[in-house]
Amino acid sequence: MELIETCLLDSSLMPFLQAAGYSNYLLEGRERLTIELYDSEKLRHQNSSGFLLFVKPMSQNAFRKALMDSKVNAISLDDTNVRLVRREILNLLRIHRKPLEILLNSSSSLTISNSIGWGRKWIDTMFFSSCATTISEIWSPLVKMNYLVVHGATEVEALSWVFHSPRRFILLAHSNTS
Amino acid sequence: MLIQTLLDLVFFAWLLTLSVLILRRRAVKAPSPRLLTSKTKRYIVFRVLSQGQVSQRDLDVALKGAIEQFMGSMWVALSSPRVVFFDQELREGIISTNRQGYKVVIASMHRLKRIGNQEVLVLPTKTTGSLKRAKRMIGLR
Repeated sequence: MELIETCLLDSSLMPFLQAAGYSNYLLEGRERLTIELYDSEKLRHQNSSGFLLFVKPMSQNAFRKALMDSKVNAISLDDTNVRLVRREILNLLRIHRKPLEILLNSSSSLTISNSIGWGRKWIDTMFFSSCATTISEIWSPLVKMNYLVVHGATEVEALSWVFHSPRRFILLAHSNTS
Repeated sequence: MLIQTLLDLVFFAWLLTLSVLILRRRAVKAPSPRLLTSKTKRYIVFRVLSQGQVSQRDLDVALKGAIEQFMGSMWVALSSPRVVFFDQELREGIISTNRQGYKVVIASMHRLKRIGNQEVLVLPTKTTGSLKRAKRMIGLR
């Protein structure tokens, strides 16, 4: 089965990803493009052709705009913007079936355990990314799974978020662009 | 009179047999004491990716530090992790822990970023219940 790491910041880490068990990856700047969105107007002028567009919203308004924009492939979440997630945002996430990416290296245990709760009830496609710049920042799939289980996810949920969701996200993204 | 008593006795014996059979079928089997204590050993086979050499002792200290940093000293005691074997050539090894704590040990591996002054990546590959099988997995014996 193809196992995908949804975020890699340095292509020289590819051999280490393969050793960890991944068969594919999304490299920042080549397959994916992440923008930090403070001003929702910036999204209108953003050219993302050829990339999967990941938006990290930094304000409530930007969050709402990113959720409703069809150009945006996924929303990135970590400790810096997790406070923006409210019930209204979760409703929008569910209505627009927007995939949610959790950045593991910059998320605390509170963010992880909150996201597990959201993933159960509100979010259709959720996945966890390493976004590694160095070898030690890579998360092996088994470590990801056990990390989620320790934070309260069931093994079935962890398996789905680590193994199946990245593939489902890529299929969904490609079906939207074609 | 005698026939009546005999019939009563037969009827009583029949009812007793039925009751015993029904109660035996409904009885919930208690789990084995081995599972209740959760002290069953688990062995985690792992690989280390690093630039330089890593020693078994440094790895053991770093692993315990990583678990303590992530889950606290209580889980270091509960999971009682120990690097029982490490091959410096193959860079593969075995961690001994228990059923209660093996998930915590694996989850804590993301905190194990440095050993000494070099960056490392510790990759768990398999978990098994016997040391013999764990050794076989890394090609020993």
